[in-house]
Amino acid sequence: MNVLPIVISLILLMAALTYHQMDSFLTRSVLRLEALCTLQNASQESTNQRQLQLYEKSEVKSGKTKEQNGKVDALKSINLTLFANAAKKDIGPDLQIHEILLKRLIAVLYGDRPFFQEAEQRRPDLIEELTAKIFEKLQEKVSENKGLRKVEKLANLQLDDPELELIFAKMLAPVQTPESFAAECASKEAKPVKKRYYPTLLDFVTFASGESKPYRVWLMPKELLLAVYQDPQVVSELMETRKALYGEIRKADKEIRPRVIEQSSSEFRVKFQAYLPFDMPQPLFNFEASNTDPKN
Amino acid sequence: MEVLIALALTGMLLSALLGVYWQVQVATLQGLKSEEKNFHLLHAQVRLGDVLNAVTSDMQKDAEKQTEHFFYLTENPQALIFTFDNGTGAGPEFSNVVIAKLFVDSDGKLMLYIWPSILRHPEESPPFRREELLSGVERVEYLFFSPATDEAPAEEGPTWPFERGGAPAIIRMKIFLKNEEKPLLFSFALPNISQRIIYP
Repeated sequence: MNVLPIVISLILLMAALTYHQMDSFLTRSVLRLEALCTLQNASQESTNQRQLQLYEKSEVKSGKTKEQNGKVDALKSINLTLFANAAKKDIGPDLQIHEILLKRLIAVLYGDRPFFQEAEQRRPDLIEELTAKIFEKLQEKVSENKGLRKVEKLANLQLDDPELELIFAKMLAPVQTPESFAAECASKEAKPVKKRYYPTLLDFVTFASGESKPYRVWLMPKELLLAVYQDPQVVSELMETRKALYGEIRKADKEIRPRVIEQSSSEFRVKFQAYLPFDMPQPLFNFEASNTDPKN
Repeated sequence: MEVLIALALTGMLLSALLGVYWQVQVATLQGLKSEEKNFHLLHAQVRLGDVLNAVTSDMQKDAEKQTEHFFYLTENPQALIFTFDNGTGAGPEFSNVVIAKLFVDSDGKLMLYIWPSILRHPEESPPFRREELLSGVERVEYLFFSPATDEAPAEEGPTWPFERGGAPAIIRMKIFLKNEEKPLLFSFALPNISQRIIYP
C-alpha cells in the first residue's frame, strides 16, 4: 500500500488548518489596531475640536471701523438671511443667483459622498426639495421673530420630513476623511493630511445683513469658487494667482502697498472676470485684492 | 507495517499541532475578553470626554440665554445633570445644546440620557436618547475643582448643587466596578469656563 497519498492528504489538512489560524490572526490584528487607533484619536479629538472652536470664536478687536481697516463690503459666504427675509423684502433677481449658487455648492460638497448619491437615487430632486424646505423654515422663523444668528442653528431646523432631516443631519455632521484616517492609523511617520474632515455646508453660509452683497472672490473658499466657475482648472489657476498676488502685496513696503493692492486687484479682475459663466452676473462678484490672506 | 508507522507518526504530529492550536485558541479567547473589556473602558472614557468637554455653562461668553445652560449634581439618587454642545450632526432635536443626565441605574450600568434643550422643547415629555456607557458599575464618586477667582480661593469638593450655578474647571470621576479592587479614574478639563487655572 502506498502511504504517499495519505501523508500528502494529512499535510494538506495541516496546511489548511495553519492557513485558517494565520488568516484569523491577521484579521484580528488589523481590526484591533484600527479600532485602537480610532479610539485613541477620538479620545483627544473632542478636546482638540473644542479648543479650535474656542480659538476661532476669539476675535481680537482692533477698535477700528471697517472703513478704517480698509475692509471690502462683500461676503465670502452665501448669505442665508436673504432667503429668510425673501417674503418680507424684495431682493430682486439677485436672489435667484444666490439660490443657484447654494444649490451648486451643495452638489460640489456632497455630490461624491455615497450617502448623498444614494439619497439622490431615491429622490432625484433632492437638492431642490432640501433648499425649498430650508428657505420655508427660515422664513417661518423670521415670521415668528425667531431669526437665526448662528449657522450652527441650521442643524435644529425641523424639516417635517424624517428622511430629509436624516440626510440634512448627515450633511452637517463632521466626518473624518478616509485619507486622513488612513494617514493617522497607517504609521506615525505618515505625512499629515491637509483635509481632516469633509467640509460641511455650515462652512460656506452665513447670516449677514438683509441686503444682497457681492461675493468676495479674493477670499472665497475653493468649494464656493467651484460652484461659481464650475471649472476646476480655472479655480485652481485663480487660487494660484491670488496666492502669488498676496505674496507680492505682503512683500511690498507699507508706503507703496496701497498701489500694489490696486494693481493686483486690476490684474485679478481682468484675468478672472472673463471666466464667469453667463448665469453669474459680474456686479455680484468683487475682485478686489487686499492684504488679507486668501487661505484654502 | 509502513502504513501503521506513518499513521502513528502523523497522528502524533497532528495531535501536537492541534494541541498547539487549542492553546492558541484559549489564549486568544482570553485576550479577546480582556480586549473587549479594555475597549468598553476606552469607549466610556472617549464618550465621557466627548460630552464633558463640551459642557456649556452660563459663564460662557456667547451663551445666548442663561436659562438654557446648567450643571449640577443631585444626591439620592446621585446623577450629574448638565447641558452640553452636541454638535451639528445629530438631527433637529439633538443638535447643538442638549441636556444630559449621567447616572448609575439599578442594574449597575453607567447610563447617559440626552434630551433636547429646554428652549427647543419646553413641554413636559420631550424625546430622549439613551446610551449605556459601562456595565458592572457599583458607584461613581465625583470631585469638582473650581479655580481661584478675585472673590474666592480655589476649591475642590464632591458636590456641585444647582444653586451654585456655573460649572467646574476640572471633573474627576472615580468609577467603582463590581469585582474590581481599584476604581477607574477619569479626569476631564472643561474648556468652556471663563476662569483661568493657575498651576503652582
